Amino acid sequence: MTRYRIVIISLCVALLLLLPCGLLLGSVYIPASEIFKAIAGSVPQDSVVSIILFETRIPALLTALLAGTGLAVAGLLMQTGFSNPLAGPSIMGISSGASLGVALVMLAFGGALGVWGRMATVGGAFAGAMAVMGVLLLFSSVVRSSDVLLIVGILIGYLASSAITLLNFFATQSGVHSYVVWGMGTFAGVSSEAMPLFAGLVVVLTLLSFLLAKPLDALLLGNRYATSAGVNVGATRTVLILLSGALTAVVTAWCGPVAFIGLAVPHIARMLIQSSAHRRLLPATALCGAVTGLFCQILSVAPAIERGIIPVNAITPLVGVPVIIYVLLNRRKLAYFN
Amino acid sequence: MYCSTAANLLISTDMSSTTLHSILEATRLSVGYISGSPVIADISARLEAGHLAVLVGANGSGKSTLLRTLSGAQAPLAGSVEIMGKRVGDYSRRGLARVLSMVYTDRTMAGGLTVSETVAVGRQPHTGVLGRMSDADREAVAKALEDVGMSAKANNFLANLSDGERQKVMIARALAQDTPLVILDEPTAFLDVASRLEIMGLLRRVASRESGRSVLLSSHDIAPALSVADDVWLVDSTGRRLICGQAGEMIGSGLLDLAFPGRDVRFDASRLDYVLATGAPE
Amino acid sequence: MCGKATAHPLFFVHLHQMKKIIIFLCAGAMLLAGSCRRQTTPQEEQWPDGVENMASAPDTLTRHASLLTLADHGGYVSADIANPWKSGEYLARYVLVPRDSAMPEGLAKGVVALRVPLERAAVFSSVHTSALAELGAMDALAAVADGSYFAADDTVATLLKSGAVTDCGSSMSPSVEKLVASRAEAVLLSPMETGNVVVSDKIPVREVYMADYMENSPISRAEWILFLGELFGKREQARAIFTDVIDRYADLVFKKGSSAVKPPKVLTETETSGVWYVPAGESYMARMLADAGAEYPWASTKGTGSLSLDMAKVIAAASDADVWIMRTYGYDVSPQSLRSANPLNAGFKAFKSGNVYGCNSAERPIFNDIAFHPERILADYVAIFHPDVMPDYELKYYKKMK
Repeated sequence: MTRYRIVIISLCVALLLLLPCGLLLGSVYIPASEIFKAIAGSVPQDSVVSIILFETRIPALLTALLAGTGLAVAGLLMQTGFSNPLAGPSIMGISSGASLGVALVMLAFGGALGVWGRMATVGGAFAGAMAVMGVLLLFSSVVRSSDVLLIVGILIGYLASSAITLLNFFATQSGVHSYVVWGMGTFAGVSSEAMPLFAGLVVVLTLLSFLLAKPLDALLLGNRYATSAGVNVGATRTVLILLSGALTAVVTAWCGPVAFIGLAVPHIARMLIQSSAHRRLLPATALCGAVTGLFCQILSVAPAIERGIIPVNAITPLVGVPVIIYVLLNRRKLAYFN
Repeated sequence: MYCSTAANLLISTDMSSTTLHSILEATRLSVGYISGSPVIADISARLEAGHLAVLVGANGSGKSTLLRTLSGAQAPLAGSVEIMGKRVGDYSRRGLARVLSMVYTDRTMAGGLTVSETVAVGRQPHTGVLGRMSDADREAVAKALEDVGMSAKANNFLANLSDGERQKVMIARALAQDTPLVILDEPTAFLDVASRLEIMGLLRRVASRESGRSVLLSSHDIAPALSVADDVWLVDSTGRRLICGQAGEMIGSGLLDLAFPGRDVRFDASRLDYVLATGAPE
Repeated sequence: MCGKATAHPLFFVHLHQMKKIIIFLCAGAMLLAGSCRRQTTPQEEQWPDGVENMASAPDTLTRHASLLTLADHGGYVSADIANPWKSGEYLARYVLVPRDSAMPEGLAKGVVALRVPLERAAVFSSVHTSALAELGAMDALAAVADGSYFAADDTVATLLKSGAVTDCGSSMSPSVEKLVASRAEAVLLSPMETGNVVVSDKIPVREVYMADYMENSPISRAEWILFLGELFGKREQARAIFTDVIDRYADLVFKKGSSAVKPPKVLTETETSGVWYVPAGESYMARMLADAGAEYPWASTKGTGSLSLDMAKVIAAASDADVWIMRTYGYDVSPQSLRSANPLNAGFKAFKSGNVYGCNSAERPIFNDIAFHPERILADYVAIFHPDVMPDYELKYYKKMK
């Protein structure tokens, strides 16, 4: 059995082990036997157990899994697209752009909730993410160095953050508080009604990105070798940016700006499968993102017996930062840096 | 078989009879940038099947510009470039990638690909949308690695290879691409002497009558390049022209002195290399 | 004569001593208006077309609140909450239907029907739980948020300890699981401009937006207790409480009018993290300061929220303020605390003259009381600003800095 197969099977097993953990853990204790009954359908649909299970716990687990997948894939697309292993949705300002879009839409809608408000936040997030991506794209045609481009991305992120800070400054104190809470990230924001839309978007965008495996491999060798292999580099980059921006926007609109998953997970996947060939790396990254998202969700819920839910962004750096530090310390040894 | 400038110094003897075997043909070609005057003007040149041609000339004489134009990366100012009888501009990206593969100077960063994965990129013009490799594709990769003597390191990361080995892998990638024409832009510039010689030997094997594959490379490694080349293409920068000829004829003709006009060097046929014109006595 | 125009004067008045009689008359007129309004069905009333089957024209129950309209349709009560951030739009609309009555037909889209009185309710703000306690509706309390912040002597703390009431965690990111497990029928929460945590329609807990904190005058806000009364079947108790609030509030306004003390210039709150938030001129707090007979430096500014100022701006406008009132959390204000927060604090005239009053909101229920009992806080203000009219009064919330 190849290393790749072993990794994929292990990740699937991890996913299958984490899911029941996620079902069992939560701020309300439900005995395993009750959960089995509810899943088997022998508990009335309007019972507290089945409402908690089907309307909060399972949607949150699915959201975590999908958000992890989407962000990880977006991160990998950016890392290859910008030829920089330290690129990622949160570090390059894409999440900040999406956040700014959401903040503007939230203010425009003024507390009126509902399905359309949700759709508008998705639209706002997408517009914000695309605006940042567009600026990066413009710069990328002028700036050849991907390190410079990374720094430009970080700076644009600061600009978006400053706009958000300004909005906060002029907003009411309660408004500020709710931005802050939104900025902490949550996997509890996708209701069971919204789940098909959220899941559909993440799955379709992820599958579309799998179609890019071939040109992505060529891009690893640089623009000229990619061109020599018949790849339309400009068009590929544009598609990459659109896809990773859309994935980031969808996840950010529903879950807030979740940090570090997009940056760290592709590294975990590379180290696990010991390969950067995208035909394998993309599925491994997606799966690894799902496991990481699920793991973070379980960590955020598990200790929260009395104090509600720990914000996701308090957890993701605990998982992501050690990985990034390891990567940075070992950049001489890691194949994809040299 | 070879080429000439418009104001021809060297008339090809069998120009008309070998048209069928011409892999690369430039006709009345001017290259350069639109804003300025042509770097090389109104030249014609031809590369035959199985031939290895070496492009020599001083830095800044337009070698790279010429190679970029020949490979379709840059549009000609005038004239035409044909590969396998079809204008370069008329090829689709994928179509061009099936007739022409390139190798560049720089040390390639493979972003974490292994040797065989890197070579597999060469198969991309031949695989489907998803890049799934057939057995034939895998064989081509293995064969290319064998040809460059890198089979033993197939599963190593490119990152763990020496610069010379990396360049061999990039050549293997070009071989795996299975194109009738391989163009290399100073492939040995940053390599040590041993690697330079090995690469030249390798390129000699690559271009052969049996494979029908032609190679055009630019190089400053005059001696090793001339020792393996069939043809020499010389950029005469004062005349902004290209002088082409069989390697043997060119070496003896004294024309190679034209590569460095106004410089204190001359070509020494006995050494197959340039020497100081007023320097140490032989 | 009972139109809205006559309802507000008391609370618009900027009081000067010579006008006190007029004020008194207005206050009387307002109270009269309040009682006569209940029997009239004003033609000009813009009744939203949400409720179709009006057997008889609805009887409006609210008159002061600008964001809440309660109307009795005979058989059920409608409650429309205006969107505080977007005029002309609703934040939410409810019909409150007694449990034994038939559901009214032809409800407009988006109108949420609630069976009243609520038997199990989650109440996420201690402002509203304390109102529930006053209304005698604590039996219906199923869950709260931020449970650890309830004072030990609060009934809620006891109920939490006994397990009768569930704590859903932080009100900003509550545990929806706990909310569901509490079997609450509705959750009363403060709406946020940027939207609250989504409770999906499939979760059988309806959100009730208590936008009272966005009202711009104390009486408007206090009237929201009527909504709680309707929700929990305590209409008479709620009305009695509210009427009493108006009486006492008007009485205090009248009383301070007779003061011989010139309205003192008043500075509020302190600098936090480099920003000094002061109430904007059209805000609730500015209104209370005016009603208490204070000269407020930012009284003519626009806006109903707060102004974000820096130290320099505050010094420029209020270094000569006679009185400085502030709320603290968890400690009593002292010269040391003010000096260590910012040495410039010691330069204010009120600091030098010792006219600094602090309310430790961890010990004194000022945030809970100000919503439905603004007259209690007003009493402290009047006593601080015009001590001559309330000679025997003992401050309930504020303490003079020692």
